[in-house]
Amino acid sequence: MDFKKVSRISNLLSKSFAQDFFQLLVTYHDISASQAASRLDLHIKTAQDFLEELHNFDIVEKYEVLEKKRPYFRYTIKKLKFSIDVDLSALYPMDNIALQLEQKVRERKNAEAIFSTAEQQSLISSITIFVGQGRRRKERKINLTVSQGKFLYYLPFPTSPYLSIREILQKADINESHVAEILDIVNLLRDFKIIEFSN
Amino acid sequence: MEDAKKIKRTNWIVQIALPIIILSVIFLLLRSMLDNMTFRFILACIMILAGLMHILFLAKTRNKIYLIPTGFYTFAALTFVFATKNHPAITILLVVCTATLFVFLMYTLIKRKIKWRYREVLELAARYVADTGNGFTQRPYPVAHVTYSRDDITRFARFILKYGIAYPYYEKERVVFVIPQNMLLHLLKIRQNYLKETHIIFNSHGEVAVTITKNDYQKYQDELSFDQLCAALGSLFIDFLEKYLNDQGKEIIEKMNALKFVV
Repeated sequence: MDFKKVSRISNLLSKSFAQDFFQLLVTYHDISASQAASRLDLHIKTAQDFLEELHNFDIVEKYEVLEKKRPYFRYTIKKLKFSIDVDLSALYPMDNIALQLEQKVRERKNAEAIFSTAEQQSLISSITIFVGQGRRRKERKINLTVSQGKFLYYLPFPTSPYLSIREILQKADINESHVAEILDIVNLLRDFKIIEFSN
Repeated sequence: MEDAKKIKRTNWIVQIALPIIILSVIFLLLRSMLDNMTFRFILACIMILAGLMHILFLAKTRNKIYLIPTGFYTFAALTFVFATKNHPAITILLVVCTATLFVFLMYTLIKRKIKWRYREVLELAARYVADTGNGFTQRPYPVAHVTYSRDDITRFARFILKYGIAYPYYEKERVVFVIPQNMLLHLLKIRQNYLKETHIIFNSHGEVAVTITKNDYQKYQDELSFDQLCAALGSLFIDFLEKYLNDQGKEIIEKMNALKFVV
């Protein structure tokens, strides 16, 4: 299940009335949105949206019925058990890491950021980035992990020749297991125009 | 002697002439407003303060040359208080001592034996840099790995402070050499945060790193290649350390004195 789908279903389950609603669904053979709303003292739109979302996730079944020529939907529970399967590895694309490590980088000239050096250690502890201009200018402070701090400590200066990310990792003596977090900060700082890549 | 090649020249009007004019005006105003005894008492207090300050320099730097200004200010204070027409012998003795010490003081100043070396350090570092191109960043620049013991670096730090080259801060894992524009603030502990000043770090693993502030970078005539400048400043201090450990400390001072910097 992808993360957005998990978020949607979790949001559904976290509603204050969710347990009562499911109790209703397993108790009744079938139920309409207006019946559920009146039973649980909810707005009919709330009950309708909840049932529609359950239908989208294939938890309830819906069918149309006609009463005095006016059609409406009735819902019946389809699954008495369902599980949420979250695969976090999908959030971390491992496939092109080797390629990314060969990218050459350095600090961008006139980068609008303040690098704070850690006391007693050879690393950058945090970086303050300025976003926007004039009155809307805001600062955003990013606290760095030790490996990120070491990486930025050894990042080439704006007038220095570019170095590949792999070379900087070696220079800073950073363990390979921290590569993902390094790439994360590199990509973030590239987006904020603090790090530039060689063409 | 050599003149400044890389660093901007001193503004003589602001640095020398203006303070002299202001002090002279204050002096003349006080002279005209106060009676003779009060005026002499105020001057004596100023001299005592200056003398105390030099005792502090003497204690901090362990440079015996500070005995000369300390002696001069002390005798000058005594002269202002005790030199009267009623005691000609004491007056002559005090005036002779003060004048002699003044001559010695002028000699030490002309020979640059008492001097904070802020501009000399910046100039010497820049002489290794040929390329230009602004690439300023306030990040520290890792220069090199050097082998030294804690004792070596501590002795070197004492030497550096003794000759006013930098102000050292001793930390658990490193020694930080600050190149302050105003050494007085650090000596008097008015400023203890070195992060906003140019500094060189020698840590316990032998790593040397340099940070140059924007203010100091703007003191150069050209926009020197920033990474090269940082590397040069680090190399300069590594060279100083090697020279000092090889008992060639005098060469460092001669190198500084060869520059024709008065302020």
